[in-house]
Amino acid sequence: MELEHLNLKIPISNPEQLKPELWNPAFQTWIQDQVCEELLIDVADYLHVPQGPGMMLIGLEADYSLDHTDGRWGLKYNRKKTLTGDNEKRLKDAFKKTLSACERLVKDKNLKGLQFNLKEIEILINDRALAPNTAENRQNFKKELHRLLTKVLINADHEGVFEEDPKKRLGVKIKFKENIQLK
Amino acid sequence: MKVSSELWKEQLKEQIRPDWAKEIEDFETTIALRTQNKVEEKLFAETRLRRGVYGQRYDNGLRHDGIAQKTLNFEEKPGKGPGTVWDAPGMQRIKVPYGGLTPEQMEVIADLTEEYSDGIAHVTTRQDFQLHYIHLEDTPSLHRRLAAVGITVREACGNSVRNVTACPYSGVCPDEKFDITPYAHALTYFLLGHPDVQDFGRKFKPAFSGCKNHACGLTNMHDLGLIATSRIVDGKEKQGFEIYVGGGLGAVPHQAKLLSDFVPLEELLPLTQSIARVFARLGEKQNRNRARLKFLIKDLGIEKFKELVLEERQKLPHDPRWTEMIQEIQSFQESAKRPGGDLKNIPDDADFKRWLETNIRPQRQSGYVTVTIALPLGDITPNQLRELANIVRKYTKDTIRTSVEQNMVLRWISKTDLWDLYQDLKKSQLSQSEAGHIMDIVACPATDTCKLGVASSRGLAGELRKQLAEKAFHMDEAIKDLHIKVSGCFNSCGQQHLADLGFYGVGRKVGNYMVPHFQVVLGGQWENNGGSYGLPIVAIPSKNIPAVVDRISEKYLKERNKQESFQDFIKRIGKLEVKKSLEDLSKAPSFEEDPSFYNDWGDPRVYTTGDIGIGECAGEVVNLIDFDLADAEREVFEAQVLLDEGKSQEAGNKAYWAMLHAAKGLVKTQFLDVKEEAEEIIQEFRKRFYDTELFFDPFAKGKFAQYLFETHQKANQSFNSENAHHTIEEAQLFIEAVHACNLRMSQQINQKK
Ligand code: SF4
Repeated sequence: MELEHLNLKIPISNPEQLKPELWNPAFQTWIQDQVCEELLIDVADYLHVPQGPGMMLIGLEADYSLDHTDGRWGLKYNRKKTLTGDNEKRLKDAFKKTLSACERLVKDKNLKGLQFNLKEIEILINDRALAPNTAENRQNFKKELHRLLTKVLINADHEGVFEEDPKKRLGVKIKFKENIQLK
Repeated sequence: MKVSSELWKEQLKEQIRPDWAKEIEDFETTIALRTQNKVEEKLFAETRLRRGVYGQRYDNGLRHDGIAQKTLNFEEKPGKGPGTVWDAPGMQRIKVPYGGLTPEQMEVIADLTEEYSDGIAHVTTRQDFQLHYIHLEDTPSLHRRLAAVGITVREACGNSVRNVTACPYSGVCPDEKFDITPYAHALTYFLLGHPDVQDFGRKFKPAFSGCKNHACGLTNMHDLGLIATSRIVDGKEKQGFEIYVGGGLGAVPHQAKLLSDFVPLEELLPLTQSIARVFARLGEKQNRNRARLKFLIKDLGIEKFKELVLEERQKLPHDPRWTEMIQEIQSFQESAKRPGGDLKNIPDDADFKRWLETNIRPQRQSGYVTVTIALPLGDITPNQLRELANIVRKYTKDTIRTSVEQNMVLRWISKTDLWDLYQDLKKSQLSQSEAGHIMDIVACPATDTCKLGVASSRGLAGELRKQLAEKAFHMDEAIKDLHIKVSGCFNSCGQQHLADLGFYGVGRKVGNYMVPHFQVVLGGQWENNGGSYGLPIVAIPSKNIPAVVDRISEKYLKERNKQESFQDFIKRIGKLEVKKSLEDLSKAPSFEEDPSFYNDWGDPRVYTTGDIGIGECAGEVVNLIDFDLADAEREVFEAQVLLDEGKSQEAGNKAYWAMLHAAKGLVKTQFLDVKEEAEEIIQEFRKRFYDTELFFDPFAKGKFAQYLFETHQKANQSFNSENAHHTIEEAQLFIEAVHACNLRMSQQINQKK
């Protein structure tokens, strides 16, 4: 199973204090400073859509967003462009990008008080041809993730709940015992 | 590009019609050839447009980030069209004939939205879907996945027959003559790829309506408007269509003209084919600004055009498909999934009751209703689309429609199911009431994604929704019934000319900055298939538009006569009075006083390219032109007032002089001694601004100058209400173009400094 087009979402632990509209200027400064390796293009505001993609920073290789899908606010990283290398490299790269985005947001003075729940993450493969959400694939994904998380994270003890609706993408909601920390 | 494109090709090969599969393969090959520079750039652009693959804002590789204009560092590759970067994300338009969708199609659109776009499917004012931020090289996979469920994107954009739209209530509406669905379907597939529609100079938009008096089909603003009708022939009722041609909004809106008051059903396709042939043969090809059918009809006159169409009809070789479609009618008859009945014991739930009032319409079949799902700004998420697909399966025989008001409509809903349906929609956050009311604002994409957007129509619409929702509880029903429509520029994709309160984006220079403004458009009529078009009365800073809505609606409430409609009220008090009442709102405070006026709604970037410093010398001429432009705007407004008073001749002349004065203002920036003589103003303007292309807009080029030249050529013409109306529109647009040219000159001065 190829782990391409990975989506990672880390929930916000204090959503009651969240001011979603302030993420627009925050993302605009990311574009001004081109803070990532990826080319950052524009900000798209979908806050008017309930449980939608929220506030998005559109990039060429990847998008970042204050996502509200399933009614849960979080920082979502969506890798669009394919990555060379093996699954371990791809997963590690996605973790790295997601975590550094969280770090940058937490440091943003205008988003003061923002906190992420680093014990939880949602991972999905955004490609139904590559990774159809079948029982067999869920098993394979589970094994592969277990193997990779142990390699990529310092403490990878976790429990995962897989998405079982075959119409939805192959994905899992993971709870770790410790905060996520890359090796 | 996604790695899965080959997988889709393999997986779907048995599920796609062979001719559609071939088209997609050809397109894929053309993309590959373009990467090797083996297809000419302009040709490639038209090829992709004809497959609905559209450009998007910033695809020229430049973006103003609030501090300066920056180059977006895309990799160097051949362009995908003139000035269009290969890797820059673009838009995919998905044509949905008459807005009809099945649950399976909805699910595929949901999947594509998730996997290739930014996670929002957008319903347009022509019943299409649009997905944004798509990579060009992914489009063949999208096309395959759509084709596998019976959707082709062929001719979704470009100089072709665009989506055939139709009222979403056809087949169930109590007021319709008959169900136009099968005819909309037949026309779509008859014209799709037809050799007679491949050589147009511009797009061609058809629309069907089941009746004349409602707005659902908006046939008056289409190139081809078809209204169901009937007449008695030999004692028997015979069905047919009233056919209108040459309507269109765009920069200068035109009402469609009646071509025939009765065309029998079997003549629908051959007559349309004849119209297409005449348009292809005689329509303008070089100057795209005059290439829509409306200009051909304006030049020829409707009688001559009709004569040519009928001549063409005589010459057409017979095609069996003209009548075959009539035999297929039965297959389009929709029916109910569940037994009809009455809604008894309405639960005591205020939101549900309001939803019943605003989102439900009776059907002509007793026991059933239609239900409108109000989408905020036409947007829906993939999860919502999938959940809605299940709702469609549960309550209907697998059909739903999109509407020109950017909503979705469920039909054949048993009244007994309304409470359960409401609960299901509520779970998916799709139970918003106020469909077709003041909060259900129509807005084009504008500065969010459209390359031509001047001001943020979606930002403004979002803000208005928010503010109106807060006041909804105390709002008078007369206000709740008003329609608001917003476009980001004069091109009218948001159909502002047909609204009670319409707005379109313009830029204005205030001090050394640009400020986003909206022209307030009044006098439009939504009813009668878009029966009359409004005109802009004054430009107001974007941040003051919510106050404009409040002020006009309060005035209407306070001063209207009993039962007086909004349009009648505006007509009675006159636009001058409305304009006067908005005077204080038309001025933006200085940047120092309130910098928020210098950002657009929902966009924290400073609206301009930063400080536009002006040298003292330039400052003097810039000030002069500001005076001249203010005079020109006043004159064009006076022209409107004259038109409203029925003085067409004076109105036309006034508008003509408004254009001359704006041109004169521009000439004075180079030549102060220009005389107040039409001929001299034209000559100087042509020499200094047109021939040098200084006046040329990057997109519209010299289009707006042509308005001036053409009106001048016909300086002694007599004006009737129609051509006076057009001249006023043209004058307004010419003045906007002078504003834009003035701004470009200021920026150049600033860059040189
Ligand atoms: S009206 Fe103007 S801004 Fe809006 S979508 Fe059309 S061209 Fe773009």
